[in-house]
Parts: sequence; C-alpha cells; structure tokens
Amino acid sequence: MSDTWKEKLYEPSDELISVENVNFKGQESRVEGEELISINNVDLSYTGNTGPIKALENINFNIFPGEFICVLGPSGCGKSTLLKILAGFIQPTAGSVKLDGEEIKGTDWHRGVVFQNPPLYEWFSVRTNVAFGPKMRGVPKEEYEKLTEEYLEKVNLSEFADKKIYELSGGMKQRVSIARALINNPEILLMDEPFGALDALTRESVQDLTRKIWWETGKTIFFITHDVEEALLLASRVIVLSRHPGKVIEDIQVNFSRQIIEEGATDIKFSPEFYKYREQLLRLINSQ
Amino acid sequence: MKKWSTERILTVGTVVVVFVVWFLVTAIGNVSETIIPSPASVWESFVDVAKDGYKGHTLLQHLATSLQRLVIAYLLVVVTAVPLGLLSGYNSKIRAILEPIVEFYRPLPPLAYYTILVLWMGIDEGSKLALLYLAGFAPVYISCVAGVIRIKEDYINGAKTLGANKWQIFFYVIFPAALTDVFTGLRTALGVEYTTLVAAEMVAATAGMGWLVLDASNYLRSDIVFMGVIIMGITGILLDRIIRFVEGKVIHWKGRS
Amino acid sequence: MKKKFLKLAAVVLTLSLTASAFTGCGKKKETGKATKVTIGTLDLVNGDLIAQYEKWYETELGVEVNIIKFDSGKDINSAIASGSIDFGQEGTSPAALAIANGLDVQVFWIGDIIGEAETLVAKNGSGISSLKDLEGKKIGTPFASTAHYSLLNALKLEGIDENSIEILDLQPDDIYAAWQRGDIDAAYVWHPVLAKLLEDGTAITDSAQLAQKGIVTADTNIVRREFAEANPEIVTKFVELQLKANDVINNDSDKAAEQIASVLEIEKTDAAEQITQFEYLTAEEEIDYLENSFAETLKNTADFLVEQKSIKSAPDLETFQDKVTAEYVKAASK
Repeated sequence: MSDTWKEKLYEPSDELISVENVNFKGQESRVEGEELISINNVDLSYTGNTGPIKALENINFNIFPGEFICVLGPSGCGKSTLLKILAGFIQPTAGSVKLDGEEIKGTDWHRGVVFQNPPLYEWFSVRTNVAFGPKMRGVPKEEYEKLTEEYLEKVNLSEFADKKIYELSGGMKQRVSIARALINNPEILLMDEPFGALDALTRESVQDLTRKIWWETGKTIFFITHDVEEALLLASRVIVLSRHPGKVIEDIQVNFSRQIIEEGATDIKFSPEFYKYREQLLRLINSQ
Repeated sequence: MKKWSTERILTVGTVVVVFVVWFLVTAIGNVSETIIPSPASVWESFVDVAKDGYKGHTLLQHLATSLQRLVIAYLLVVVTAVPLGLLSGYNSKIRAILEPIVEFYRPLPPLAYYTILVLWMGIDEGSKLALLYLAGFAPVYISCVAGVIRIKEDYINGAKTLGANKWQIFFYVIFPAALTDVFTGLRTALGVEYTTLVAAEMVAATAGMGWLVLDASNYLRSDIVFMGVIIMGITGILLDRIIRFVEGKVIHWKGRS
Repeated sequence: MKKKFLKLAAVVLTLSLTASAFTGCGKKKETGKATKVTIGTLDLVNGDLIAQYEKWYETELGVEVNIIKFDSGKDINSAIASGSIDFGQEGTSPAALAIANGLDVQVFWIGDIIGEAETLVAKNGSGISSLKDLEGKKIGTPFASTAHYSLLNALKLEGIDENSIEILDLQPDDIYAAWQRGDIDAAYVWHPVLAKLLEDGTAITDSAQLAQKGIVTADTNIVRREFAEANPEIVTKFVELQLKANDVINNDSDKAAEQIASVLEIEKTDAAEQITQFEYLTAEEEIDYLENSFAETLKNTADFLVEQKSIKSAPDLETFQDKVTAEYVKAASK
C-alpha cells in the first residue's frame, strides 16, 4: 500500500503505527486468510459521451470481520460505485469481489445497505418497514415480530413504531433504515454517505448510535463518507480513494472510535492527535 | 359563515357568469332555441324527461344504463390494464410485446375502429363495452408503465438487499410505489371512457345518456341535448370525485413524503 | 368578505354585459348580394349528381361555389342552423324537423319522390314474409330518417304495436355489419346497403307502396330564407339546373346512369337500377306538389314525430305552407 503521503507529508508517530494489527476488544481479527470480503484488481468503466470512462482502477484490499471501514475521497472518486459493487448492484468490469471466498454475483440480504436517502416504504408503518426483511425471507411471524421490537429498541424508535414514515424526521428515518438493514443480521453493513443530509446535531447522535451498534454487535461496517472528521470518529480503518479514476491511495488504522467507546473520550476530536490525522487526511484529499 | 378563498370565489363566480351570460343571451340575444335553448326550456325538458322519461326509458334508467356500461368497462380496465401496465414497467420483455399494440391503437379515434368491433362482436353490449374498454385501457396502461419506470432504483435495490424476491418486490414495493401514477391513469381513463360513451351508444342503443343526446340531436331537440350534456358533465365530475376520494384513502402518504 | 362578494358581483356583471353585447352584434342582416355560395349535399341519387358531374353549380350560378358532402339530414340541419351552408339537401323527415324547430328555411324543390329505393328487407330464413311476422324481431334503421318514418308508418298501417318489435338505431354500414352477423332480422334502408341486403333478403314493403297509401317520403332542397330573399336569382338558377338535370334523367337515362355512377363511383348498372326506384318530377309536377300537397306531407311527418314524442310540438299547416314555395320553380320554368 502506498506510504507516499506519510513519507512526504507526515512523519508518522510510533504510537499511531502501533495501532496496526491490534485486535479491538476481540472484535476484529485481521488474520490473512480469514478475510470476510476480498477485493481483487477491481476495475470499473462505463461508457460516457466521449468513450469509456474509468471510475475505479485496480482496487485491492480485504475487509476483515468486525472492521469499521470508512472510505474517504473527493466527490466523484467512485466511492459510491465501490459500495454498489459490494452490494451487488453492479458488476466490476474487471477483477473480482468475494464474500467468504465466493464471488458476489448479485444482490442479496447478506450485505445490508443503508442509503443516503433512505428508501423507506411510505405505504408501511415504521414497524412494518423494519420487519420487511425477515418477513420477505419467510422468517416465522412470531420470530420476526420479536426481532422487530428488539431492533426498534436498538435504534431507540420503540415509541414511534406505529408512526407513518412521513411523520419522521431525517435522523429518525436513517435510524429506521439502519434497523431495517441490521435485523437481517447481514455479514456486512454497507452505508453510503448515510448522514450527509442531516444537520450537525442529529448527525452526531446517529454517529454515536452507529458506533455503539458496531461495538455491541461486532458487525462489519463499510461506510462511505466525504467528511474526514466523521471517518475518524467512527472508523477502525480509513481508506482514501483518489479522484478520476478511483484508486486506493491510503489505508490506515485508527482507534479514536474505540477510545470514545472504551474511555468515554467524547472530546477526543479536540486532541492534537486527532487534529494531526485530520490535517493529514484533508491535505491528502485536497491534493487530488 | 365559512371563509371563502379567492379561488373558490373565482370558481363559483365563473359558474355564475356562465349561467348569467346564458340567460342574458337567450333572453335578449334573439337567438334561435335550436342554437341556444334558454335555461328555462332546458329546465323544463329536464322536469319532463325526469317525470315521463325519454323514448321508453326514465331519465334514471338512461343514466343507469350508461353508468352500468361505464362501470363494467372500467372494472375490466382496472383488473387488466393495471397489472399488465405494472408488469410491462417491471419487465422489459412484456413491455416489448404489449407497448406496440397500445401505441398503435391509442391515437386512433374510437369511431375509426368501432365499425370493426361491431362486425366482430355484434350490436349488443359486447361491442359497446369493448369500445369503452379499449378507450380506458391505454391511459391506465401507459401511466402504470411510467409509474414503475419512475420508481427510484434505491427502492428496488433496497428491497433486494433486504431479501425480497422478484414477486415480493412487485407486490410490496413496485405496486404501492406506482400507485400515485396508477390513480392518475385511472382518472384519465374515466374521462376518456366518458367522452367515448356517446360514440359507444351511437350504434343500436335504445337507452343511455349518450344515446339520449344523440337521438335528441337527430330531432334538433337542443333543449334535451343541453340537459343531457349538463347531466353528463355533473356525473363526470362526481365520478372523478369518487376516484379522488378512493385515491386519498388508499394513498394516505401522497404529497407528504 | 363583503368586499370580495361585491367585487365578484362587479365581475359577473361586466362579463355578462360584454357577452350579451357581442351576441347583439353577431346577428347582422344579410343585405348585399352573395359572392359565394355553399351547398350541402347528401349525394342522393337525383338531379343534384348530374349537376355535380357537369359542374353546373360552379359554372352557371355566377358566384364562387363550395360543395360540402354531408352524411345525414341531421347534419345538414345543424349546418343550416349555424349559417355554415346556404343550400341543403335532405329527406322529408329532417325537413319537417327543421320547420318544426323553427329553422328559417324555405323548401323550394323536390329532388325526388322515394320509391323502391327505400325498402324493408327481411333476411332469408328469418321467417318474415309479411309485416305481421315482424313481431318479436329486431329491425335496424337509421333513426330520424325517411326510412325510419316509413317503417313506423308501415307498422301503424298494419296495426302492429311498435313496442312488440325491437327497432334499433343503426347507420347503413352498421346495418350491413349487423345483418352479416345475424344480429338483426330485417332493416329499412336505402342504397347501396339495400342492394347488398337484397342478395340474401326479401323485400317486405317499400316506400313506393307506402306512397300509394298516402305516406309520401321525398328528398327536398332547402335554402336559408335570408339568403334566398337577398339572392332570389341564384335560387332560381339553382332550380333551372335541377330541371335541366331531371330532363336528362327522364329522357336519357343511360347518360344519367353513367354520370351518376361516375360521381358515386359505383357500377353503371347499379346506378341505372337505382334511378328507376325514384320518381323525378317535371316543372309542372313540382309546382303542383309544392303548391298543393307538399306542405301537408311535411306537416303529417311533423305530426307523426310529435306522436312519437321526438319533438315537442308541430306548428300549424300555415307555417309549413309559408316555408314551402313554388315561386322559384315558377320563375325558372318561365
């Protein structure tokens, strides 16, 4: 992986490097060969007005169980395209993506998706929206009803279960969306700039919720964002994509999220370390 | 007294103006009764026809006959055009089969193919219903197709990631998501069927509002023609209101998301 | 609130006055001589087709001529009522309707008296061999036409209750379609559909037989009175052309058949046959009809329509006499 920015722009401190290969409270295992998802030499081109345009080029990395990966990059770098490939909405032009060693051929419930504009079904109540997945999959009624209450509780929406979707605020909608995806117990949760449209206060609270869910469930999360601070506050690993075509230009492990959870370090974003990481990443992205 | 909005006043005002102009024109304009019958004679013919009927049928029977044709044809449209339209929007192969047929006959004036329908199905109810059915089918089909195509991809992708199969997506996502367009189509279809009603009752009808208007115009009875047209207009508005009411009940989320 | 309604009232008043002012000026009296004449035709098999073939209207009326083909007397009446056409051609039923409804027209020429050209045909195998057999059967005829009038009168003369029969309002081509499918047992109709029906049908009665019993149906030419009063010489000339045409039909039927066949794009033999099924009048006969019995024929027709509850009321005989005139035939035959 590229170490160029560290060499050129930043002298990495020992502390930070020591984060690598650490298992977070047993929730992460970064053992080669035990990866959940492996992305191998993925290219994606589409046909534009002036011939083929390359959106992604030679993407190579593994996703390990329990990781919270945030993908950062300037707009138009193809990060959402990468998520779509993982979800199975589109197929790569070249290369392969494997889940548990099996090539991803289409869309299924093993990879839950939280969209930027949550496509909640307005014709159903909040409860029915959350229950949608298990109901479709033929989970017995008793069981999915129990699960629904459980997941509503997890996203703090129990008292809004019978509301109509149009009665919810943006943050609540995103919480329904998260519960709806999690209830299927997918192997990985794919989140595509889920909080981009929310106001700052709401965003902070859903970030906290997401972090908490990650920690408590040990779920693997693949999270797209263009907000460096958000990435640092949530991720256990940050991947940076370049612009046109999207290539991986940085892949580092961070542990601010873990510190917030374990030490209650709520003001960590004012720490010099955090500031340093933020500056470096920003500079890297802006240099694109 | 309830406060009236400016729009409401304008609407009511327009109706009042039309009536006043109608009255004045016939009262002072020295216009022949054949061209514009006076409101009084139209009212008289209404009372007459309501009391004694028109050519063997009461006014209610005429109205009921037409409404029966309309409702039967309309229900046939609902149970066929809605599923076929939605499926065509969902599956491009089905669309490839059906769309050329609908596109071909849709712009044809109903009278152009009515004679063929009469040849095939006879002069009884069959050909009339077929004409109304074909008139209503196209707008419903087309707006159903458009309704499905307009659905945001994330709705369908989302359902797939949650584990829904093709048919589940069709019933639980595509169908409800397209409902707004389905209803737009249904309302248009009702209007189109209504305008086709007169044509449908041209051949061998002995009752029906369309036939009443046609027959009265055969005998230059403009008073009855006016009456018939007004009754048809009001009925048309009422039918549209009914559909809008049903729409409001079914699509409770409309305009709020 | 009150203010709003005052405003509303003001708008209503202004609009209404403007509208009525317009209708006031809309009706302007025709005084000047016409430079253009519009003739509505039904392409009936009579002198009109000869005149069309020879282009007499265009060359001899002395004004610009526009000929419009209509499908029914009903449409001719509407066109006359709206002032869209000056001359019109129609059967006695629409003509009686026009007068009964107060259309300001004059009936100035009888194009033909309808004979076997309109016939009640029963389908072979339908078990109908006389009018009496019609009970319980389905009969098609175009409503408000001369054929419809003849059918109802034929039933009345036989003392048959028309409610015991299903009479369907069908246009001629629909009659043919319904006949082919076996939807109707009989039809009272005219050519060319009549000829096709006779191929597997039997004539039960016809308008010639009815005429002998006093039920006369005919095709007439009408003119807007305002136009006629302003342009009597055009109407006279129009009649001259009809007389000339009738001369051809009555004296050189071969030539007439050829010309009629050419305009209608039908076989000459069919045209020749159809000509024999009408009666075409000479100037003397025209004057006799128009002065004596024709107003009564129209009055009878109108009375019958009242009886049928098709129209509210029929005016008295004087009104019909006032609208039927022989003056142009007289002027033309001088």
